[in-house]
Amino acid sequence: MKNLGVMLLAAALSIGAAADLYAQDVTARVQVCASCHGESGNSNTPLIPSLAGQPEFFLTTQLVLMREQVRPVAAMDGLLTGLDDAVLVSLAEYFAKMPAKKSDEIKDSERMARGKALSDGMRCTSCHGANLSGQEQMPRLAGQRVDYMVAAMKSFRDSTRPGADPLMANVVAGVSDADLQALAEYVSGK
Amino acid sequence: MADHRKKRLSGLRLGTFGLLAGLLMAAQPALAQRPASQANPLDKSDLGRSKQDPDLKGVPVPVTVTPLDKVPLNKIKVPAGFKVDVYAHSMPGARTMLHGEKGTIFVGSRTIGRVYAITEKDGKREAKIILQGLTSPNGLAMRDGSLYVFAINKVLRYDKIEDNLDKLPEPVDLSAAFNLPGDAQHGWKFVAFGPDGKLYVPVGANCNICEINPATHAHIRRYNPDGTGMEIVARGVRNTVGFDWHPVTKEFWFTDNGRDWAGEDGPEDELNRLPKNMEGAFFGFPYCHANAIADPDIGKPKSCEGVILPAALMGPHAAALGMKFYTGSMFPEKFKNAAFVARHGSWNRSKRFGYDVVVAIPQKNGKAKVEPFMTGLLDQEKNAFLGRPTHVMQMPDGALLVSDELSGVLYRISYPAKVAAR
Repeated sequence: MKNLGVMLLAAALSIGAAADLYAQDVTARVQVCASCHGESGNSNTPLIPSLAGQPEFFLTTQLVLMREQVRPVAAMDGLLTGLDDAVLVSLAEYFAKMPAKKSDEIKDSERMARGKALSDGMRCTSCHGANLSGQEQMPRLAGQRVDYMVAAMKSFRDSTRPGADPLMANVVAGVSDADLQALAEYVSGK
Repeated sequence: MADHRKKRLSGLRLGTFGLLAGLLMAAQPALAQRPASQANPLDKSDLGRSKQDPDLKGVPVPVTVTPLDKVPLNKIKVPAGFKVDVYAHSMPGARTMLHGEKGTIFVGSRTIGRVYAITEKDGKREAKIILQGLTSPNGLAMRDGSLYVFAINKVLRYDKIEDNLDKLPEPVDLSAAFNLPGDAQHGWKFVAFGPDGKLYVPVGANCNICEINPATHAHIRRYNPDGTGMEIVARGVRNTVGFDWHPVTKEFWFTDNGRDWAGEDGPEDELNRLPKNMEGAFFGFPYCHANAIADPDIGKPKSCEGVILPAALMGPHAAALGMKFYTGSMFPEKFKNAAFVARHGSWNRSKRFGYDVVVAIPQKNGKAKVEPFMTGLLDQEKNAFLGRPTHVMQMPDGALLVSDELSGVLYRISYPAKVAAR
């Protein structure tokens, strides 16, 4: 009887330890992410996107595509190598649950007004959701860093982003740099 | 693998027109009411005229494994006497299937950029990733032990691949020889060797609806296996993702996806037949669709003159993709030389349509009669779907494999009734 108790205790401890290790693992990885993407996934670093509040489906998809170099991102090189799907999903779950904050970049009200008109015409909400908070494979734009979104839209427009879906390339085809800036300031401020 | 990333050509090259359109949009943004999915300034889609819900959008493809207990096998319906099993699973994004000369089944994909290989060892079937990091490697073909992989703007040949599945040989890069446009839109391929030993390669329209350059887009080509000797075999083809040759007449049949944003009910997708000795014939895009519907946004006079009309209509926005003529002896006589066609399912339609496999039975007049075959993945009441059949392939024993891109599985449809009756 006593032996059984010891065994049960040992089993309970090892399960606890395993779960703990897993938690540490995710926490440790999250810290690696946070060093660039900001505490709780809200970025204050130029050109680094915020992850907080992004749809989980979107984050998982992008992590897998980056890991497998369908979408190579130099700054992410090596960071995802060897991580299995379960780890990527746990990272996506973590950041999807974090509350999104507004980017602290300075926005110009005139440009934002022009951005709104552009956004209405280009129907951003059609895919990114009524509040531009993203859905499924479509990312959250509200609160996102302006400089990151401008760079991303330019790379879609100029076909310098490998592995990208043709959808965004079509949406921003022929749109000027100034208009991309206005769009980004508006959607970020939503 | 790094090599795949080095050379990426631009998807869209916009000249003065693109710039002008950009300026116009800037000046009058409210007028630029384009559907989000088709905002290419060259595109003539007219959202207002289509009267469709402007928020219709594409369906995401999961990039992680669907657990076997979540695969909707028990929802699938097939005609009496037929049986469905899961043949292989855990292949996110599984689309094109190819039976290797030594029995390996290769599976291509789009978003996830992988090629899988399914092998059997000691009675155990295993699917593994053999290639990754490619841009939509949906085109697979095999000849003389070599696997040809067609990604967007990348053509790679892996020699003696089935002897080297554990460590793939360095590929021969044939991209320059094939010299295909690198457009992301409709740029993914279905490819196959024809009875003439040529490699058939389509180039889709780089828009939903626009005046394409007929020398470079919206047609089907054929090449020598090394990429030389290009000829255009069919013109005015918007985007085909499946074709085959009739087992008896040897005529070339292909699916073609109808344009979007011209109404809920059409123009319907097509199953086309290229009549003998009519290579290079014109199938209508962008002027004429389905059974002679003049394009409403282009509005060319005499739009359908000289156009070869389809052998069968495949349904509105159905996304008729993979097709294969059945030549096996397992299925009942009725299916002999009939074409199975996978319908991926609609996105540009409020009421969902397709998500099934149909059979197109060729008739004496050169047309084909379409009947349902594999159904059950579309819940019409809930307007929801549980799978996206993408491609069909006949196995050596006569069973039919169907790939489902949504669950990342291959279903096997067999006809045990015939075996039992023997």
